[in-house]
Amino acid sequence: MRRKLVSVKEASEIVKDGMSVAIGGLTIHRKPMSLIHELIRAGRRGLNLLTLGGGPDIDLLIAAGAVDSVDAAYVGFEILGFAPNFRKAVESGKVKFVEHTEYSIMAGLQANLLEAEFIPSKILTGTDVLKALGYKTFKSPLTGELLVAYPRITPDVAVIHVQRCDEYGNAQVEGMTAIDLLLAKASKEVVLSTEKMITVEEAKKVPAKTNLPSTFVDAVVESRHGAHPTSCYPYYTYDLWHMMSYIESARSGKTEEYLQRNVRGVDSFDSYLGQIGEESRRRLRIQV
Amino acid sequence: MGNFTSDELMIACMAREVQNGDIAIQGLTTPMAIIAYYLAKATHAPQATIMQLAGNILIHTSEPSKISILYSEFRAMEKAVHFGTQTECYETIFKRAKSIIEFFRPAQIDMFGNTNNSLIGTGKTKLRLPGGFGIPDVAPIYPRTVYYVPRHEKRVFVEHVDHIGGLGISRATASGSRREIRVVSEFGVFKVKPEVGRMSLFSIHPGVKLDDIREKTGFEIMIPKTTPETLPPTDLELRLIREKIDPLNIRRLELLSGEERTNTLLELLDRELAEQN
Repeated sequence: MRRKLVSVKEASEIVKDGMSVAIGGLTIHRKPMSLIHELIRAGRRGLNLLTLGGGPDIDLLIAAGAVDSVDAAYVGFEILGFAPNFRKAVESGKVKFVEHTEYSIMAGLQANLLEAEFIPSKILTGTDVLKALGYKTFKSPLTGELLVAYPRITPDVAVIHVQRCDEYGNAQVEGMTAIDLLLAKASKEVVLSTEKMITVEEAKKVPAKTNLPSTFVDAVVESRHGAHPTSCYPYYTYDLWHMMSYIESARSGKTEEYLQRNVRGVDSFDSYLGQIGEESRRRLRIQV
Repeated sequence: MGNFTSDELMIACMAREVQNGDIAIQGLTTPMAIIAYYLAKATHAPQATIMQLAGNILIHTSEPSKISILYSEFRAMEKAVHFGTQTECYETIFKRAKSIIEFFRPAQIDMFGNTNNSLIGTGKTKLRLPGGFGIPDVAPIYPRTVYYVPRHEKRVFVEHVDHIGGLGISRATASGSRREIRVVSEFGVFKVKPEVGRMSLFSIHPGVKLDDIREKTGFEIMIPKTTPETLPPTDLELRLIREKIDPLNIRRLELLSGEERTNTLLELLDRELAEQN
């Protein structure tokens, strides 16, 4: 095992213009926001994003002009509704959106992990969602039934925020884990940001908790509160107030101001966290 | 209507769809669904198993749980007996489909029970919705696919959905199928059965007139000669909803839109924070 701890800047350099980037987490849960801010600061362009359920991650990257296409089963802010910049960019044709379902993404990643060219399955036959995906159908050589060929999905790089990780990349993901383990294993390179660094000795005490082993990980960044404004169980819940003000700024045409104030105009994610306000920080502390 | 609101009646109807022993899965952003599961578990279905937050957290409770907006994942994890992955959630659905109940909220539903959460509009300009997530995958797999519609309107109950996500049932495609679709709305409970092949009224909520349904539905719903009235929520059901499961009244968010919804949400969040501190 080699040490993989790097700075957020070094980690962001693994993600290059035009790459396909798999993003972990789900909607407003455990999104790798500190890395996303860094990608925006670095001026990345032409990214092709893949995520199971997108939220502020997708919306912010689109707002910053970093995105060519999005593959996802859902993009929205859950209880807060539509993702404003995503919706605008997709409706105007600026960003290509490939609407998947949970199955079409998981099958594509599974095909990759099983070294299969595609996964044959009946799921989604008869739907317009399948038509829009444009996946080919064929007759099963075994039964003659009509099947869909779910092609393998191979992201260039996965970017995932995890709860705990050691310097070698032995990671613990918990709570709503979504498809993060699949995404990591199927991607050519894997960059983790971790809420908490643990020592390898600590990891050895609870090996069953390491559900993403270092063999699949290329770089680790320590990033406390790195998922803000999304949640990172058990450390903090989502900052719905912050996301509401983000949505409001998008609706009133002030996305650029939001980006300037929170991302482009600050030198680090810590500076951003420093200015979200005492009120926000107090609210997000979980007192159980 | 009597001494209950339409959301409370709908939740009672949804809870009655849960059978004792079912595996109940919660998808994205569906407070009424999770309230219904807890209600069912506290009444007629104590052996139901709940898989929360898009289905990867398997929880165990003996007491009805209080739902939360702000700490939904935390509450689920406090009661977790297992947390898995989304792949495992699908493994459960595929292998145990007969015992699974999941409530979906469609943006559009048509007379065959086809649903759409993808795109609105058929012309050049389309309204982009967040997406169907898992609905198109699993809707045809369940023996009973249950949808709920808190606001029964023409723009939801449409003649043809603009984009088919969740597959419905028509007589032509359903030969031999025993699948059934149920829809719980603010006006009644509706069903699509393969032998009929289109939506019909199953029970009408107290105080609702047939004309209300006809006026607010974008297609002709089959109305049988005699339609039973939906059983109102019992005192126990109401007490459980109001006092134990959703004392903050998070459920009403599902009925609101626009600024009213935003203000209600802020108010609910303040109350949750006040309780937390």
